[in-house]
Amino acid sequence: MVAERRGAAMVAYWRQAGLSYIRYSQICAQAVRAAMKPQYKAEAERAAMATVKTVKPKKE
Amino acid sequence: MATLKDITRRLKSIKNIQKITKSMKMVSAAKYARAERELKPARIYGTGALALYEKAEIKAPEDKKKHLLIGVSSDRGLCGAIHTSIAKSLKNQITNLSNAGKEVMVVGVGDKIRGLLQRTHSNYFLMTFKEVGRRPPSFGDASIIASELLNSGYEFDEGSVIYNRFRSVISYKTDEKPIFSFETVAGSESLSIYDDIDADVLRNYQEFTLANILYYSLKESTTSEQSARMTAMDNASKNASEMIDKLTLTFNRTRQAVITKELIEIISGAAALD
Repeated sequence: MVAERRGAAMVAYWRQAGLSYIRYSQICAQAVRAAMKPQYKAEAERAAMATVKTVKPKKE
Repeated sequence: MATLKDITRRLKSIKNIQKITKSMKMVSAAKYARAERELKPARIYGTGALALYEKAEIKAPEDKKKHLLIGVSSDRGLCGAIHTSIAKSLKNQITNLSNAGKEVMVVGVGDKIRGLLQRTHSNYFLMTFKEVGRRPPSFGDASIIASELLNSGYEFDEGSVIYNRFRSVISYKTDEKPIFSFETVAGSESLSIYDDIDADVLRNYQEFTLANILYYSLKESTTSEQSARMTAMDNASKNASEMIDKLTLTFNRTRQAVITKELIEIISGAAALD
């Protein structure tokens, strides 16, 4: 039902390039942060710091 | 009867412990204040993301096989029952789902979850995330977790995030929020009332909602953890002061007993000479 409504090029350009929406929004946010004035930039950089690391379980 | 030296040693060590737990309580109180402040805007993200699911009454069909459980906690201990409540809920859900014949995979956010479930349920683990809890969580953390989940290759039909919802300084509750797969949402009947929804928009929304739900649960979880650590350290300091009081009394009694014994020896020695 939903697939019928899709037009010829409804898929976004970044989706076609292989990016997920999350990666797309991360890149956009990075661009916005880079464009900020210096006094606000430091604050934004600090707020956006991500520290999580992935640990994949070892295959035995 | 312990010697004076033993009691002195014990007293000194308990006093040190009390200093440490008191300072941990102060640190937790400061972190809690910040976490609660940041929780208010974060709640809006979570409720907004889930609003579509609730309004459209999207429910996963019963015959779906692949399930994903995300347990949100942290790396650090000394916070009361935070980690064990999540682990208990995860264990129950794993048992229920396995008995119903579904395939279950678990994702642990925070090293403690992996530690608690490693012994018995290690083959259910898809991945773990560490370095959680050291700094307050940001949307970047949630994005990383969501991206890893989407790239993991595990095509789940349905999932839930299990986290500790913050209620007040002294109470939190283990709560669960649903995650739906793309097919479930796309196939839901009530979605036709929404305008301008096509597969691409829906997929974008799904990915963004996953990151939103994770961000919301991370924020709630950290606030609950800091408040629980504050309470736990406060209790520990109180217990330590109680022990110090009791030990001081026994110390004084022992000290007097030693003095009395010496006096008796001297006096009986002197009496024996007469």
